[in-house]
Amino acid sequence: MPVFNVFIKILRKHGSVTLLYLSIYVLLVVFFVMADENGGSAADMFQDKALALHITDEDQSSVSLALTDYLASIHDVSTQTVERGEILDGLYYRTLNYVLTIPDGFEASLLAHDAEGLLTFAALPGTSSELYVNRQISLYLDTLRRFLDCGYSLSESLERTGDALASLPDAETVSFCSANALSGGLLEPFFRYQPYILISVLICGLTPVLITLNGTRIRTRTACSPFPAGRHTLALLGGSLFYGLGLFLICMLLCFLFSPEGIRQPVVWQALLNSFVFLLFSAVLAVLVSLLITDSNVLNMVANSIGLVMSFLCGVFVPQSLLPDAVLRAGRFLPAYWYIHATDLLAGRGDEVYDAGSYWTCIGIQLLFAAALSVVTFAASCRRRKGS
Amino acid sequence: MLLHFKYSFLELLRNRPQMFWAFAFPLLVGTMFHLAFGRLDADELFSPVPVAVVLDAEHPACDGIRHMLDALSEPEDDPFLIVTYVSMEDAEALLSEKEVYGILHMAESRDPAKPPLCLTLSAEMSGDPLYQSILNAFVDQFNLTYAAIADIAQTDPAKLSAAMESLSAETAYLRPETLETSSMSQSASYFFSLIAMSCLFAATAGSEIAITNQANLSPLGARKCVSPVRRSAATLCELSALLLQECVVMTIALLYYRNVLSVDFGSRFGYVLLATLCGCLAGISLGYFVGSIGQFGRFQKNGILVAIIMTCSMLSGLMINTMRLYVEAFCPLLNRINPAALISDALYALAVYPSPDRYFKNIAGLLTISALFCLGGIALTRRKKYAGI
Repeated sequence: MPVFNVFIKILRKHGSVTLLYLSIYVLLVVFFVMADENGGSAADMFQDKALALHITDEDQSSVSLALTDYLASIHDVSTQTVERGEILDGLYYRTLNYVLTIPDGFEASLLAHDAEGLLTFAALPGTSSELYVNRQISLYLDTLRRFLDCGYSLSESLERTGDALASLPDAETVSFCSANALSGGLLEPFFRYQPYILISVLICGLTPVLITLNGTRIRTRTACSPFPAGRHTLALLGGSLFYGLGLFLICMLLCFLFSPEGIRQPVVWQALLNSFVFLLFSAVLAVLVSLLITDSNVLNMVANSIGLVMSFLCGVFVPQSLLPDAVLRAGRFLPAYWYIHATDLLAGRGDEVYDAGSYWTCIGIQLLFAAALSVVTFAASCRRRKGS
Repeated sequence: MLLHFKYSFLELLRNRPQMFWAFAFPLLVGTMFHLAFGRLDADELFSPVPVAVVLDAEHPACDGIRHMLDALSEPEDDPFLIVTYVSMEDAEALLSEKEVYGILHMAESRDPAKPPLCLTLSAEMSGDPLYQSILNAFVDQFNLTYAAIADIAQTDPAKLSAAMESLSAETAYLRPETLETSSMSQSASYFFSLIAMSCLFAATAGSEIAITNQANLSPLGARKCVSPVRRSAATLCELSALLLQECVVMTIALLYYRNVLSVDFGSRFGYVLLATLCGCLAGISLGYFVGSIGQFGRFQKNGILVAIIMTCSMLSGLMINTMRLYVEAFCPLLNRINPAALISDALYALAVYPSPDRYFKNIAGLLTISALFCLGGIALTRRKKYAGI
């Protein structure tokens, strides 16, 4: 018990780091949902994806206003004057997808069959968003042009174009699986970012405690005390378990805070099981790091190196569907890959289709990773004891 | 002075774990970023859309549609679609397995006035890079053209020839504008944040210098306090040696990023080095300031530094690159005082903006912050006397 008490005392000193990482975690989840308002969740009726457009209308004619209205019916259009820097920032960070400039005299040129190349646009060249908006602008202007060529007046052509576009049938949408709590909302990013947070929290929170208690001075003092070595190890194990389970309980609590109704869905419990298995691996990793690193000053760099490397290689911050094949092949040798794969299966993200067999394979592989790392940790521990 | 600088530098070099991680962190994480972001920019580029097509041979528009789809999927001619002709059951299977982005099929109605082409999409295509919307726009374009001709043919057949003429004369209304920026690579922004984080990690070593100069916090500090060397001179030498070490480490990391990982920093690499130097200075002075505060020990001070570094890095866009823009919208002051945001924004400004104004504003911000932290650290530690330790 004295070792366990000391363990808790040192742990409390590092409580701020745990709280810090958990706060970063909650912020990331909330931010992700804010940033991803536009996409992700399944809907009964298909809606064209709304992009961020900026239109500078120097013409202010009936054609330019009608074109702006048409684009605004699909996209998020801004028309207020902005500085060039804001446009560059928006295009760089993809918060702005397309910038259209309608020059003065466009309507007159269109009526005079002299509108070729008059509209200027800025978008990332060759991207889907460029093609998508270009196609919509051409669709509108071609339709209008057709009615004008048939001899209708401008106002009549604009009205007919609007009617023709409005009368188009909606695309039919089919759903192949029932919606689950993990697709869309806060739970998907909540589970997605867990590998980075669990690794960072456990290495920055648990490892310094183990380094202190396994340090030469404390260990030698404990060795010459009447306290049995076995009970010392048991106390450390108990402390680590206490910390790990506490962390998992906090994660569960956050999960139910983010989605109170999610508790009724088996998919959320499956995701929690996935998290628990990854937490086991992370805890063993933290113990291994405590055996290999003796300087607690570099722990933050170690935690971030392991956490960021694993996160970026396995699809935590960048979806697996965007990772190159070579990276995915390398990622398979890391448990975070299987964690994310299982989360993608449960959420139906990207190209993943849920399959119970694949899910349990992911869980099994993570357990195997944890077991293999436990063996390595045990070997490192024995070697260190022999050395000392 | 020079002797003290030399030994401070040697001391830093001999701290193997610190040295190893100072080098390994930016190189290792940078390499992984490079591997992970290999397809980030490429994924935005349009590539042919896989689509399942179910044709009804009895529909009057069937031949026309088939001809058009074949033309659009010609592999030699920059194809727009990758077409698979299948039955409806097979098409649904392909859609459910996310092998195709949609099913193109014929309308049940044979009425020539009704749009002949229909589109069925999956509700579970959350990872769709706009392809469903592009398919929808394509079907709309086809149906609209078809409906317009049918409408004119029915209501005013005299105008049909004019309509057909208009249809064949395609006008390219749009002209791309040249952006004055040299780089639009989204992945580079993650590297900017990584460089900022690596610079700020120098704070842990800066804090160590402050701690080892205080007699009440470390035995080394006690020995230094009774030595005849002026504390200000000793501290200045140690901080300068650390700055030199960090600059060497970051220069190697930057050269590695530029030459091996092909990160696009723009054409002004000298300015990139200057920004990194200022970033290291800000990191070291931050650490020196935190290390000088109060009488609490190494653990607590490291905890505070970790909190500051991680929060600053997250807000500068290390995990989600648009974070800095959101901070700018909600609380711009935070971006002015966050050293990680200033470093990454300086690097971003160099890569994207032709004018160096924004870059120099960030550099001025970094130097001001560094000066404030250094002055704060000096104010907290100068003329400190210990009655007992």
